[in-house]
Amino acid sequence: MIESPARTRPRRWIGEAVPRKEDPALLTGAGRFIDDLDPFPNTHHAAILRSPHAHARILSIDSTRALVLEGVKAVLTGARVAEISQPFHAGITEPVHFYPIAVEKVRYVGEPVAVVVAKDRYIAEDALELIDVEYERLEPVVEIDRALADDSLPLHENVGSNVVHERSFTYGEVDAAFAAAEEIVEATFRFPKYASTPIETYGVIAQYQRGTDTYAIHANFQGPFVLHTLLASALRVPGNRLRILVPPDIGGSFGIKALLYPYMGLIALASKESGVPVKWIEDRLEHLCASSSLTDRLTNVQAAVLRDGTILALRLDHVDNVGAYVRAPEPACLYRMHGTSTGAYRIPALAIHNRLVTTNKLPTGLNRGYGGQEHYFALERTMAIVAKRLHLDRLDVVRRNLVRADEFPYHAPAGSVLDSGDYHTALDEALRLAGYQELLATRDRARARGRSAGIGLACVVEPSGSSMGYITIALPLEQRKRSLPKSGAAEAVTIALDPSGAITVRLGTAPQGQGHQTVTAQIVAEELGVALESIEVVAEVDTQTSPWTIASGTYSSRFAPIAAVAVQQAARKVAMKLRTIAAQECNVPVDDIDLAEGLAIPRGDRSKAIPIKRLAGLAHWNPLALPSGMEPGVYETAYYSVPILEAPDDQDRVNSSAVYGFVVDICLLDVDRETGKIEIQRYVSVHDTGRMLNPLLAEGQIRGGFAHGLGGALMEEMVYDENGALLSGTFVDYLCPTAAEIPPLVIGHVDTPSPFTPLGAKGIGEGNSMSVPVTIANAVADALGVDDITLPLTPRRVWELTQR
Amino acid sequence: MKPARFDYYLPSTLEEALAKLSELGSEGKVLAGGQSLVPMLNMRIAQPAALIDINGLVELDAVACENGALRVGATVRQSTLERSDAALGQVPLLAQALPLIGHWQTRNRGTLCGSLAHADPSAELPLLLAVLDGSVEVHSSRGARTIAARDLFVSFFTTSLEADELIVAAYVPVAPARRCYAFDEVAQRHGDFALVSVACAAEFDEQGALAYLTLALGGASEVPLVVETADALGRHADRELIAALAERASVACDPPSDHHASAAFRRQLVRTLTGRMLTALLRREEAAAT
Amino acid sequence: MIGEGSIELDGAAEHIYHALLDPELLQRTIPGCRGFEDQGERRYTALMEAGVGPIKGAFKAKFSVTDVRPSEGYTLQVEGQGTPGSVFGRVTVSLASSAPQRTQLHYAYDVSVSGKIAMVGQRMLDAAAKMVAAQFFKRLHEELAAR
Ligand SMILES: Cc1cc2nc3c(=O)[nH]c(=O)nc-3n(C[C@H](O)[C@H](O)[C@H](O)COP(=O)(O)OP(=O)(O)OC[C@H]3O[C@@H](n4cnc5c(N)ncnc54)[C@H](O)[C@@H]3O)c2cc1C
Repeated sequence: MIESPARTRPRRWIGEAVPRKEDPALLTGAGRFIDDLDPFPNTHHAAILRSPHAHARILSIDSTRALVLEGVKAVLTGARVAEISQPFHAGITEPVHFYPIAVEKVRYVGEPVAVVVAKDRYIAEDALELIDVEYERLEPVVEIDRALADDSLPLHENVGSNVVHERSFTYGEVDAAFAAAEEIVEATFRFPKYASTPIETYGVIAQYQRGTDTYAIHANFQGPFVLHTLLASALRVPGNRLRILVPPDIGGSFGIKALLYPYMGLIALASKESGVPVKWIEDRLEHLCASSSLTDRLTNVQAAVLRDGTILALRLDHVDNVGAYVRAPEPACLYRMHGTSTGAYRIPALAIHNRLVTTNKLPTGLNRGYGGQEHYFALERTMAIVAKRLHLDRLDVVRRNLVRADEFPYHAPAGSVLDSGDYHTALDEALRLAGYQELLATRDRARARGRSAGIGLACVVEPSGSSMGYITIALPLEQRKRSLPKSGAAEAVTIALDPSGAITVRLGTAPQGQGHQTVTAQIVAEELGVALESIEVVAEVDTQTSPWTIASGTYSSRFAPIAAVAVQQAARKVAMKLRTIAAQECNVPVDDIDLAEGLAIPRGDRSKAIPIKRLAGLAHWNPLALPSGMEPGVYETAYYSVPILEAPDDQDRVNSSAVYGFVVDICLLDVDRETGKIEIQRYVSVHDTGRMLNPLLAEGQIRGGFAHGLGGALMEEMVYDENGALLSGTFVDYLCPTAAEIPPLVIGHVDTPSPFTPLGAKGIGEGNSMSVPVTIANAVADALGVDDITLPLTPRRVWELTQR
Repeated sequence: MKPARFDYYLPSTLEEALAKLSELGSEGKVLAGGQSLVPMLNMRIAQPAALIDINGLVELDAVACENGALRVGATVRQSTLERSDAALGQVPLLAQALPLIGHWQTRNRGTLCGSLAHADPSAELPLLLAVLDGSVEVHSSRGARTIAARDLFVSFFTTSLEADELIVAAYVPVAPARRCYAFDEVAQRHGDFALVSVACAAEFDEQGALAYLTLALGGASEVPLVVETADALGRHADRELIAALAERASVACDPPSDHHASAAFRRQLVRTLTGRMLTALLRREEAAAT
Repeated sequence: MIGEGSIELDGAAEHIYHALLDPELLQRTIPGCRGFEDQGERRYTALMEAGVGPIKGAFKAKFSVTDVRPSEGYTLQVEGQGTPGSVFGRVTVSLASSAPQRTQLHYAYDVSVSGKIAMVGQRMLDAAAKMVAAQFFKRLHEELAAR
């Protein structure tokens, strides 16, 4: 189409490095977090008595002394909770009952045993010391190996085993590939249990209204709002009697505040039991023992390879440790990467054996990188080991197996449809940025001086925008067939223009610092041709009034591929309405109206331009003047779901994510063999983020993921002793990297927009959480010449490796 | 993480503070910078009946040079010393040790005397006092006394202070002309308590032989441990001697084991740090001599 | 925490052995012990206050003497629960005569803690165990000397 020169284009905002709209308030202490809210009069405060034992039977709980303490309103225990609520549902068939408090047994250190509701938190904590609990200690089951043993004491007697889920899958001709292999490389990997540590901990303010049997729960919850359904059934109310409200600001989450947020239920029940609204802000001690973490995993990999490094097939044996219970969305830890099990490689045959075990540790859940760090640790260590065993250059092995640019969209054997990418170019870009030849020379010079230097590499496909259906693959086909198929991944956005033309966008994403308000304003400003600053973006969610879907929320890096599209589509609905009104006013076809500079401009005649403000006024004040059939007002909601996310098929294939980014990391490091200290000399990370929405935010996400990945690589671990006692209960023992520990990071981009979504953007928040642990492991393996690497690589572990 | 109930006293004179201390005995705890005490209160692992806040005692907020020592009052913040060119000039080891303690924020509140009273075997300042052979001035309503570093630290988190005694000031000896110092540690992150730390003070004579040497270890025993080095005096600090001293240090200590580091690893760190530190000092000395 | 130590005591092994079975003496030698009650069959309960420096915790403790080997030693099982968490483990005491009227007492403990005390007290636990054990045997020495 030849465009008329008189056409007015709106200013481009998408892709601009716009500073965050959120920052002025946050940086001046004017954010509004859960603890800043005071929504109900007469709110009381909860403190939670927690189990000192990993595994014990509760013989008795005597709250008499606590109840007589002045200011104490009520004490809620597990027995009562079991009477007035239902266990939470999870996605496996075995009857692992999970309540938000221990019922009859405690199964991990820190598990809630009783909740005190009192006038203030001080009194509530005083009262905890007055509750007498008698326990009978039981054999603790701490490690995966013990959980797999037939004679380990089952945590859940009604399940009868600590293996609570098991499934096998085969894709392609696996046995034939292993028969044809010139070498079979096998290795076993252990991945540790760690988490993310948002600065803001959990916080809930709940009110139960007896008159109407309704719950209103304010919580810094990040979605997905499938929790609404699970929580309503746990609380035994229909969905319309449960109102969840998410505050305007959340101080980080990284998955911790996602599904399943048991304290929303627990505090709601405490309000019901005590008859007053109840507030509970989790403290750091509680957070480190009883919030959530990722799984620790035992993986055995067998790779069928040719001598030239071609990988013909993989056999993956996974055992994931979900801790004491299976909390939704678990067993998703095993399945998020399922469709993408072959990573960035063209590996035609794949067999997977999955098992899930329960142990006396903190239950798991979503976590930045979810399932990815565990998965790539095994896969990318294997790639390094294959190269080493075959005496091949690591880069040759990688290049030989990477999916080629002309193969996209690439259908991976287990079902993921890798939408777009140029992995070879991204690898070359990483090598260029790293100065790879110089890196090799530096390493060799260091070695010649007696130092232990090593280079690590990892290639990671970063899925974003999880399908709501992928978790159902945990169920065997017959069972899946019995219920409704689950597919897609929807998000909803509402845009309203008031009579003065002021624009308000309402999100259902519950962001925790990602900058959704900023990107939303960019998209809306570009679509409607209005000033960026004029747009208000409301991030607080109220399930009674906000647009939302079961998938709403911020997890699996889904804003860029999904929510941003919903924003764009809602804006387009508004734009169409405004242009339709303007077309009538100017008496020209709709197609001839452009929105720009705050005006609706008829093509070729700027003098007739109408301010958007006037069009909005018209829609509100003068509905009779609207084009016939048009509804008054300007209030448009768009629901968007990615079409490519189909339900699992009968061959157990599932495309688990909407789009797939790519990350290549290269690192050079130096190991001090005597002190065990690692010094990272150079770190390069090249990303495919599809269409870039805002380079500042993308960089922030990459740097954040990098810090998280470093934590997992070098220091973070939830340490339990052989009795299941938690040893890393404060920030003195659970170490997260701080600014001083984070080396410079060189970031590069080879972006290939996704053809499957209108915006083409890919998530970028989790790639480095997945790639950094294994990149550093590979570098340390190279430096020390050892294969058996366990994270985190603390000075003690590194030193022990040198002592072999 | 809310403390149990306690009474709070804010005396405005030293006499008043000492009277309160003797009245309360072991039921009362002195509150200085609060950087060790307050976390313990919040976690309820310490539940004293009363706190005696000494931050109102302005006379304790002074640094002075007296009789060849820096006298640091009980409410002088670690960061005050860190920013004082005079103090760092007189006690150069402070410049090396202070930045290793926690973070700016904790040093803005935490006091030198509080750290000594707390007697954490991994802490930097008790080690500094031990290696420099400093002392503390202690008052109670019964009178005053001076306790040398070697008599102050009794065991983990335990000093020879009586319950009614207050450290009024610490005395940190001023560096003699030719003395050189080093302080080093292995911590997992910047600001963490060290897995082990090593400090030393040394002097070489005209011929390059050791004329003075004190070597002390932190985090490696229940108290800062001064290693026996008298036999090294008069000798040249060659590789052999350094290796022997490093080995001796690693054997002399009795380090704890935890999930961060086994006792064996801590010994190894002591050996490595000691060896490297003495080697670096020697190099520095050689460079200065040429 | 595991640890061990030994101490040389005045008196024959048999004498020491009997002293070690004397509830009165146990009560006086267990550090921070109050409200000691003999429950019979060599089982005892008490309130125990233990700590290092400013850190203190009170536990309801159960003790039982098992694995008795007359004049040679026994095992003391300990189980305590309190607001800071729980403590459980055992101390094995072995006696050997080192000279006439002198006995070498060797002790080995294997004590675990769980709950808050393990979570926050990592840096101090080893120290605490060492100190409690040392105190116990030092007092034992004093008690025996005073007899
Ligand atoms: C995040 C963090 C990191 C830290 N990292 C380190 C580190 O790396 N290295 C390190 O050494 N320390 C570290 N600390 C501890 C810090 O240095 C403390 O400031 C110091 O240990 C205690 O000093 P204070 O003035 O804060 O004492 P307080 O906390 O007020 O008191 C500590 C104890 O000493 C007693 N006390 C205090 N003053 C006196 C006195 N004048 N007379 C008698 N008794 C007294 C108190 O009663 C209390 O028992 C850290 C603290 C924090 C919070």
